[in-house]
Amino acid sequence: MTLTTLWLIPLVGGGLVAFLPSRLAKWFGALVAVVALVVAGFVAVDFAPDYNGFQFTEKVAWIPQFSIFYRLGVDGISLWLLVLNAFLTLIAILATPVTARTGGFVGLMLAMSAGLAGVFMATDLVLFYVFWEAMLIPAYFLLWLYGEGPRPGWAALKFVLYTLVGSLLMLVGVIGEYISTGHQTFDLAELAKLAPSPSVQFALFFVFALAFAIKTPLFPFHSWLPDAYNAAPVPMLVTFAGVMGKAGAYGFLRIAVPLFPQPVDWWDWRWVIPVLAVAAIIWGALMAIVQSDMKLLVSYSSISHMGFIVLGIFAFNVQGQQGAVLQMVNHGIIIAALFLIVGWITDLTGIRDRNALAGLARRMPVMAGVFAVVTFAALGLPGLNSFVGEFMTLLGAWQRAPVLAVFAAIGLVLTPVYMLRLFQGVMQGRPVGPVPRSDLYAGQVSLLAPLIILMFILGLDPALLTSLMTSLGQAGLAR
Amino acid sequence: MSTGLLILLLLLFPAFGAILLAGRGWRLPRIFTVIVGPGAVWASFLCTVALWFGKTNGDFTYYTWIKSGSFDVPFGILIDNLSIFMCFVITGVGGLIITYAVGYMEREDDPSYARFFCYMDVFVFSMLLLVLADNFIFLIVGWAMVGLSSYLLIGFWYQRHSAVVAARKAFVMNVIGDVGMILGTFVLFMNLHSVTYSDVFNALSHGDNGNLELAAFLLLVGAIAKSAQLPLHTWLPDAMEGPTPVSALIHAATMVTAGVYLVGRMHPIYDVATYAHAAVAIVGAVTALFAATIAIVQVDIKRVLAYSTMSQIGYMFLAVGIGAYAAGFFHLLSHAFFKALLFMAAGNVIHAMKDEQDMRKYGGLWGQMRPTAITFLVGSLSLVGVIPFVGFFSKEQVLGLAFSKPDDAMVQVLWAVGFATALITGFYTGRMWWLSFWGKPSPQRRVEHPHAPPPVMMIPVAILAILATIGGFIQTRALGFGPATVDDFLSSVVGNPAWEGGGAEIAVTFLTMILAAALFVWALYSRPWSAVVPWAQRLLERKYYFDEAYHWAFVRPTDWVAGFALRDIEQPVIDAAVVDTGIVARAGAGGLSLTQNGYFRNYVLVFVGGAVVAAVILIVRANS
Repeated sequence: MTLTTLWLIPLVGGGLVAFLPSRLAKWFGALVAVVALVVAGFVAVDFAPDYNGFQFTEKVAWIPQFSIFYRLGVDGISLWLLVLNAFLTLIAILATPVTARTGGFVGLMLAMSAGLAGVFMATDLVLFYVFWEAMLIPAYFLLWLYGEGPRPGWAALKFVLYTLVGSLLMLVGVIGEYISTGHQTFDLAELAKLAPSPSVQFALFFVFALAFAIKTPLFPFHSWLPDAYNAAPVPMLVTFAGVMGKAGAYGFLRIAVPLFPQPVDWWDWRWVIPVLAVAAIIWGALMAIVQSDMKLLVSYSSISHMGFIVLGIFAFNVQGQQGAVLQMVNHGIIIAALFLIVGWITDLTGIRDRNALAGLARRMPVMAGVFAVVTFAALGLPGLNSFVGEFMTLLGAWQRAPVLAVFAAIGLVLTPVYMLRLFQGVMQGRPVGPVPRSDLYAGQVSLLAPLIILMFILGLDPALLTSLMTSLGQAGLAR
Repeated sequence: MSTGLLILLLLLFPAFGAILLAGRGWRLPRIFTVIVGPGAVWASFLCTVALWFGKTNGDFTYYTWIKSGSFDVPFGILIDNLSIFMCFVITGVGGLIITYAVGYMEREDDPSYARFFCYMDVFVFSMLLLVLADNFIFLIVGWAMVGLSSYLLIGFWYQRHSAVVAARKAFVMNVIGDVGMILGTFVLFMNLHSVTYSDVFNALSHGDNGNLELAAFLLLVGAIAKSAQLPLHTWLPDAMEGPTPVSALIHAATMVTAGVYLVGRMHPIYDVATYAHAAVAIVGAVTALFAATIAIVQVDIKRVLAYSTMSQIGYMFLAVGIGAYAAGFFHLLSHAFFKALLFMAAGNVIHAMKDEQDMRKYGGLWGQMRPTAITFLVGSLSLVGVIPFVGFFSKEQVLGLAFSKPDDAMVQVLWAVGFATALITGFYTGRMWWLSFWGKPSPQRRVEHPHAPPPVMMIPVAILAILATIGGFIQTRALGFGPATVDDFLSSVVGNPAWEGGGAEIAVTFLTMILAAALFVWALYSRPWSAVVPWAQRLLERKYYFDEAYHWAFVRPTDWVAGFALRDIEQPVIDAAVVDTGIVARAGAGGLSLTQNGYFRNYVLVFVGGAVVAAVILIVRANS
């Protein structure tokens, strides 16, 4: 029952929160998130690193005629995403400002978190699909109802339609997989042992990979992202960018890699995806370089960084895949902190254009210090978390094909260009533009503090996470 | 105290210092900063001395940092004579420089003052990590972290636009080097299946020679970027935007010599990878000459010193590139003495001249700043290579070994380049010294009566002046006799060169020195020389147009490509797919005709429609 509570608590809690008055809603929502985090923490503590297979499994017959089961479980890959989801949900709710509409916002955030938790825990393909679609609904309403900027509804529609295109195709894939394996099962661990014929795999890989590529997003399926991230309110982005983006990458790792291991003679998708990942790394970085809007800059940086994760997954070796999972967690933490910082700078100055700001460090020394740490974490400085993850994904990629790592390394050089231009341009130099209302408030610092502490901890002791990644639920993953 | 703990303390004292200062240190009285900042480095120095006395040697592993399949990275520290040697340079010379900074940074307000020493301690920690690592991964960690400290300290005065830009430039160029290191490590791991030095070096005989060459070249990219050698050198002169103690410590004595350390540490690889090894020597010699010529026309005293640093590191590269590793390290040590001395003495002048760095606006300081002028002269003579100063013994040993390396025509040519460089060194050093200290005060000088530096700034300079004067006597091989302390100390790690010098070598050594010294003096009378060849003057003043070339070859194209990609691909092509999706939705909702669809609309329609149809068929089939 442990895992069921992980999505049930946020969902039920979210439902209740929606009807509470604003201030109470925020704190009750935070309480719900804390409970979920404690349960997730319990799972992590109780997790056996050497166990071969899914742990904490639950199995209830759901639609037995089609052998569809309600089947949950975690392994070394999903465990940390589950924890990350619970953790960032708490941060997001705490970062939510109290307004008249807070109740609905927090409620939807919890519902989205429940859907994400379900995606990470589902070990039945149909259940995975159901959670995959379910998390879309709160995301849509969050964007539509709480979005900012001129056309939040437009961004929400773009996001949902684009994602739906992928996920409806995925439904076809789910059914196709069921039929073509011919063993009447949706169990992900079983399916990993029952690969259909290569030509069927060719088609199935395509439909699943398309859905995941849109979700991640992978170049060139990313164009929903700048609009959606631009419209999303900052607290939403903490989980929307921090966790939901990882769902796509997780899908690659959980489904596309183990279920469709063989290419057809004349075509190998497993080369297409890493090439797109490298393209995403460079493309995202180039787009980030030309953005003057801080929020868009960070959004494009996210596309670039997600490229490293997908690249690691398709390295098909243990360093690449462990590095990818590690980097999913790292990137979640960093992107959350970046969006919070950029959002708060905008709040305190009223400006989103980085060219219209300069020299804020003088007035905001605390912000300058915090922003510096996050900047260096984002550009992969050793000692902070992102370094190890990127290093391992690149090492993995190099072992698959050096050329992939070489081109991905261009991203390593471009990242400091745009990150330092952002940080230095806004914080350093002679003060230009409006005077910020104040430095960071104590409450804001205390929200960033756990993120920054984690950047250091995971940077200094990455084995904390990787040591549990040896327990895998499926065959076909590198160990 | 156990040795393991002592080694850990050696490494961690500066880290503790930095953490204390980064925390609430600056809210405490300034004396706290003064004690903690330099104190942490001196504590490390004492640990180094203790390890040296204990003749500690070995590989100390503390914990497994990361383990992923066969990729196993221990947090391990390698103590051998080379790392002890480097620790002496870093903490000894570093300690003197950071103590000097106590006076130099006096004018900063309290938070900035503490911030400065915090960054300096971060640097010392990173540099120690770099030289103490026993595997490639922690080498890279240290390598990147010294890059960070360099960035932080170049951009220390962050309200100056030029400092901010210089800091970013240094960081990005160093990241290029880091990428080279990372890829080099990948090659070694792929072929030799380990990332610890000992395993890699022991397995070298199993490695494929082509791959070793590749790895050695990639590592060399890192070395070149860090040591500001051609063609990744353009960041170093700009790095002079940082406070002068930073220039002395990071951009002269320690960090920029990391490339030399790298090649020396990796000498088993370079001994096998002969092409990459030759490349090291060529890069060194060419950079030495290249930088020396630019130094002739610079008017900013710190920039002259910066180019001179590049040039001297070129000598070190030349030495390690021809296999004379210990000679390279001796020159590293000697250069740390006299270049730190020159920078700090120049700092005294800059301080007294109210931050004026243009030598044409000095003049006549010999009478007014006598102690500083004398120490600067000591440093200058050492740089020129005049006996008995330390620079003579180290530089002439490098040149002598290059001169006498048997059966190697390429090295003969490189020697000639090094010889020419030595002569130019004499000239630009003389010009610098005469312009700054000799003659009458320049009419443009703003400070009539410069103040004498306080003792905290003068004493470290004096100590280094003494070291630069007598330090050479620890190794007098350039003369063909006498002690060879550095060579003997390092031979257990890097071995000795396979050849011996002869009588001709010593004659050439003295010839070099005499000619260089003559040029040093001649520089006094040659002030208007530059008008003779205006185009050469212009070429040198523009630093051979490297900055412009890079700007047009890399910076502008990147911005241009990114802008083009955004305007002409991202928005019209990639984004259009989504825009059309929206049109489909609206059209569908309004029940409008879809006959006017463009390509993308059809595409989406086929997707959605096809998905539904396929789903229906499949479900029906599954049920039947």
